[in-house]
Amino acid sequence: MRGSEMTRTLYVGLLTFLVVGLAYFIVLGLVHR
Amino acid sequence: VNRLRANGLSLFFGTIFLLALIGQAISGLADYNNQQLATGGDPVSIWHYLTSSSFAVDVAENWQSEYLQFLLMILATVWLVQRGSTESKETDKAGPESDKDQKLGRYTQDDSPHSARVGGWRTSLFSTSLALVMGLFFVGSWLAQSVAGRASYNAEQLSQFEDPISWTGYLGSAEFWNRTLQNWQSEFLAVCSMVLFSIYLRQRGSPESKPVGSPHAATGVEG
Repeated sequence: MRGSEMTRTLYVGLLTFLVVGLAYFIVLGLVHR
Repeated sequence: VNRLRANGLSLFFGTIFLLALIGQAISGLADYNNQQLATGGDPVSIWHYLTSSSFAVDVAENWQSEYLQFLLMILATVWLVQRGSTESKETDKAGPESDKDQKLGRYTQDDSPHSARVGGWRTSLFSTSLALVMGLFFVGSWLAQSVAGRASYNAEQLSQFEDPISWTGYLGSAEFWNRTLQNWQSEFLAVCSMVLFSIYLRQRGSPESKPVGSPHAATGVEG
């Protein structure tokens, strides 16, 4: 893996983490835990 | 090794983020269980805590304020300048600047991103994508804070035999605004500090600072 590919992987990984994380928090709120 | 070095900044902050989040989960569980015992409840497992709205609201309220900070900083610095600050561009460049300054239109380069070269709505969208994404994560985190915060608030209300409230009711509650504003005030103070401190103080070698020998009044120079 080249340096620039790793950079893109980190970028996409962070975006994915944030979207999944926020969706998870909203679901937790909606199921009233 | 070279590609690790080339991504050192993001790997460093990504790593300490995960360590801090694990630390928050462990200390948050201990705090939650102390309160459970104090109010006659049973202690819960880490799994129960990590799937609780109490954990979700604590994380989300901090996230929203960070993304708001970056959103405001990105947009405010388009129009507002601060003489001498590393956070500001040169004082005569306020505004969205010319196509030449921004390497757009006929000033695009061979290595410009495709989205900058195509023109039309795609270039317009790309031209504000940084603020847009920060804004989306701000709104998303604030929404998550409100939804999880309401669930957490209602769980506490019910444990005290009081009435649960609606989501819109929670949006007007003292708890929601206390959680929100206590995070906002610290972010705004931090930004104001960085804007003003970077005029008169230096860190040799840091791009967040001017070169050590730069005059205090120099604006728009990086280290």
